[in-house]
Amino acid sequence: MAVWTVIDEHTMDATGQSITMSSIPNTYDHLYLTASVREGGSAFSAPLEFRFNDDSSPYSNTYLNVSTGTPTSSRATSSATGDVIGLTGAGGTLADTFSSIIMWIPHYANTVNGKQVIIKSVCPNNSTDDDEWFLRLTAGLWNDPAAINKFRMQGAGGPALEVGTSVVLYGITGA
Amino acid sequence: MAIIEAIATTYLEADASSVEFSSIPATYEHLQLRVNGRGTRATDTMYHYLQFGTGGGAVDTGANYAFHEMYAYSTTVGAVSGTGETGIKLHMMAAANLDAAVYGAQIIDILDYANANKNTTTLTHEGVASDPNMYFLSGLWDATGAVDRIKWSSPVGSFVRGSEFTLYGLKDNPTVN
Repeated sequence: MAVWTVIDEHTMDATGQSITMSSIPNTYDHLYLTASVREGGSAFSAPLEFRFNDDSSPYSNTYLNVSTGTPTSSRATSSATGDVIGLTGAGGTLADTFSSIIMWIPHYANTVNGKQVIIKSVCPNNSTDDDEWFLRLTAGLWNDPAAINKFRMQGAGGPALEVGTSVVLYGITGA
Repeated sequence: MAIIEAIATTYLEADASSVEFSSIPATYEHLQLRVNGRGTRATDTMYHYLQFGTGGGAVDTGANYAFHEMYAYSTTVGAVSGTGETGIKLHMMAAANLDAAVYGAQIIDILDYANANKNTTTLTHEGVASDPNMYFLSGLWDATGAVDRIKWSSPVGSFVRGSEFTLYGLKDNPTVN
């Protein structure tokens, strides 16, 4: 039977650029992360970076995204970014509305393989206009065999994470 | 104490026009709904609505909801949105024209559902492979009250016997509850 454990939880009580979770033990089988996120500024969305173990490379990601009537896909490699890039809702969306992000990191403590992450993220809004909302499904890779012991979520060079932004990191054990 | 707990389950012994969970405690961090469902609509999926309530009252039936969806229908992909809706529009209930054993699957995550400073939002993945369709959606209820009631209903049919709805709570602190 699978057993879930809360490894860490953080809620921002002041605006800031990032949330960091350190000293993640290697005693679980998988990691599961939830984030309720909103960035400031006047745009409807803003980039969000996920980084492991303070490592600046090598990362890549492939995603399916929609913010209009037509879904599109894209890919970025570590030559273009230093992190697994996500996206979150920002200050242009309806007040008090936060994006939802769910991330799975299977076998995060494996010391042979790179770390593949699967992310579901949505930016709800009370608008149907193009690019004022989004849905995104992402496969991200930190291609390093080290066990993940540190996680950072950061607004990517733009507006800060708003008060109320929260992250919960779960560890899962058992077959 | 378990981190993830089943709060309630409804298994339909007979067709029902709606399914509702009430008195949902505010002591979890997140909610997750897992559904295996089928509807009486003759063809296509039986679209339906998800509505929320707070403060011990009935669900909000006003035009206070929005949704955005990305869909795959066989080899076609696309997106649809709606605002000013009377519920978050969902799809996955298998329709009556499909094999009798086919039920759709739906998983809905509601993060921070009890936070009085956040509107209620949903992240949903659902589908009926033999129809064939798959949806990935967001939902918005423009209200910040803690969700204590959830209701599924459809204007085009009922949920059929054998459909099953389960509500889970995820904690962020093992000492709570």
